Amino acid sequence: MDSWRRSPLFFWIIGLPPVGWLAIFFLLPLSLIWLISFGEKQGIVDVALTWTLDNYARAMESIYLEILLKSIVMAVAITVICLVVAFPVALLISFAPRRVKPWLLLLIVLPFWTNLLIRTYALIAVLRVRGYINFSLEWLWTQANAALSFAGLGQYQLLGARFEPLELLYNNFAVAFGLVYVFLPFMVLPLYAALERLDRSMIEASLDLGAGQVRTFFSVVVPMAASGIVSGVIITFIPALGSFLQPELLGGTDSQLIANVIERQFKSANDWPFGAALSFILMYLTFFALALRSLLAKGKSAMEAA
Amino acid sequence: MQNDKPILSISGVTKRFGASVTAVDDVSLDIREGEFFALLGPSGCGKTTLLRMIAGFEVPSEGAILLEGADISATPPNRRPINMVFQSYAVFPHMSVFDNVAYGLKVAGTPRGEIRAKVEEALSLVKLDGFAARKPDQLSGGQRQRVALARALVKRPKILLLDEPLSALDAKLREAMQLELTRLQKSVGITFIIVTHDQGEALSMADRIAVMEAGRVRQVAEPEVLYSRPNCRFVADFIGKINLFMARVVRAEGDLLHLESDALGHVDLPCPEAMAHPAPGSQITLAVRPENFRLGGEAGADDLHIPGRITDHAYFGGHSSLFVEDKAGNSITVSVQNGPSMLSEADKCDSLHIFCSKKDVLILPE
Ligand SMILES: Nc1ncnc2c1ncn2[C@@H]1O[C@H](COP(=O)(O)OP(=O)(O)OP(=O)(O)O)[C@@H](O)[C@H]1O
Ligand SMILES: [Mg+2]
Repeated sequence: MDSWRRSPLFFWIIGLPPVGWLAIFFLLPLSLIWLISFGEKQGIVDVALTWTLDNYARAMESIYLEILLKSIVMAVAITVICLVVAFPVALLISFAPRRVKPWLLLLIVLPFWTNLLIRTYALIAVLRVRGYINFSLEWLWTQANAALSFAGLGQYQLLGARFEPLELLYNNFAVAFGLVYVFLPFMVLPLYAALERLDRSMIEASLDLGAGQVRTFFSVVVPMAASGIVSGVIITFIPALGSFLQPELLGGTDSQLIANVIERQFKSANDWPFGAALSFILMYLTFFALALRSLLAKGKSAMEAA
Repeated sequence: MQNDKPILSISGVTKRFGASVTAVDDVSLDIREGEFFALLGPSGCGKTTLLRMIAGFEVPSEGAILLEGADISATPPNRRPINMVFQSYAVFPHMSVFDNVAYGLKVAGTPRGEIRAKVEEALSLVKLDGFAARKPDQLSGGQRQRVALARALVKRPKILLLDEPLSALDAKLREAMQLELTRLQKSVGITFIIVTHDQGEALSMADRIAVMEAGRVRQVAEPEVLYSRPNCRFVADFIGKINLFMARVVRAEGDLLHLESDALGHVDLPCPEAMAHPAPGSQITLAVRPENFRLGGEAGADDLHIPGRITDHAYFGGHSSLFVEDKAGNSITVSVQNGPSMLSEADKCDSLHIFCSKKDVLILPE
């Protein structure tokens, strides 16, 4: 170990390629975008770096702030829904018999093997007016009606004259549905990892001391899975805040999120400087959320130490 | 504190895992109120499984567990007035020592004011006063175990279960804790059931011991009885050190058995009460503790004597073990107190006689 540290050449050799990679393909483009965000559009493709703050000022207009706020609310909602849905799933997998565990994990990971675009289009087939959910509902409606007729109540039309399909697509519900669907595995996996590490005798100790299942879940299982909850929340919230495919494909006219606005600047609106400014505001927001989290964590441990 | 009324009756309890594993096999035990009871046996003999059934984490496949006469076999663990100290201690890492000990009281809805007093009392019982605000990761292994102990004791259970509580401690601390646990048990008067695979631990702490082998209880007795009158070869071999000799029954004269053994020669011994009289010609096992042999000196009228030679010895401080080979090639372990000249003298003897009194020879049914 120590002799490794004393041989700097070795470290240069293994360290240089990844550092170079990061510098060229991550830091450099990011810096470019940062510079562009202080520029002005000139002609069709050129941007002049004038150190103007106009792009940022424009981003503060209420129409953009509203979309930003909506994106944040949406991302928070997605994260909360994912957490609530994923926790029981992760718990179930970690308590499943050893033989079926890998298969359950495979089921969770399986969607990763399919292209996101295809999965999102598949959702359209499920949610649309003539989609599988509405087909199922219609079938249920027909069966229920038949049962009613059989019971001699047919003429009252208790369930309506005809089946009314639900409007499930091209609205905020569809966007939320699509996002939860995509991010669920990102929440399940870190939660599962945390629950897998949890010593079963902790749960037994809680039961042994007289706590019921519910009390044990909230007083022992959830706090001890805290690290998994935090990583799950972070890796769900950040991409959810920047999501753009689902609002594009599943959303209606009022379902635009901040990433759709950014995309439009770089493409149809051809306003790179403004798009760059919006991107950086989104990034600053993410940094702020992460900083807040580590500050809270530090404050908590400081309070406990005191 | 102790009386003969059973607080816990285990009757005909069997636990199977799947079709092939029988972890506990038809065990019946009565545990008396206020006693310090040990379940002793080699690894994998079903001690933990039995303890977990008493705690309520496993349901017996057959049989019943009665607490003060009431069947609790199907009662969930959180409704049993029985608490457990886990082998891994299972102290909640996200709670302070105080909150750990208070947990069981809070769950039971004890008023706040009472909780503080009770927790402090429990902490001082295990000598952890002043540790209330610490987090478990700021404690040593021994201290964490005390937290687990306080957390269980504060509930004032009818029975306290301890699964190998000392196995993770170093030898010095383990000895100190053995003493402390017995002291604690006498002072709180709660029935303790401890699981251990360390016979020394069981002998020094328990009022009574159940020796288990492969899911079955082989003998239940006080430590002295277990040591001096083991009822089978397994118990004799498991508790302490013992020399075993095969013998053939020549004939039985009333209660007296005439035996022939190639190591001990011809021996007449009374048949033990618990044993059916063996048929002439059948094989039985004789056993002698190493400390019941004497080296040299004069043979008494009733003594057996075995000629042999010393092949090896091991020094243990207070005593030494000598390994004697008899004429037939059997190796016999003899334990001697170390006097100033003992070893050097014994070392010199190339051939010697070892003696043992007839009453120290045990007959073990197979
Ligand atoms: N949940 C289980 N499923 C299947 N087999 C089990 C289970 N629990 C225990 N066993 C088996 O039952 C037997 C007894 O196990 P147990 O844990 O009671 O032994 P033990 O006496 O406590 O041993 P140790 O001293 O090693 O702790 C072992 O053979 C073990 O493999
Ligand atoms: Mg065990």
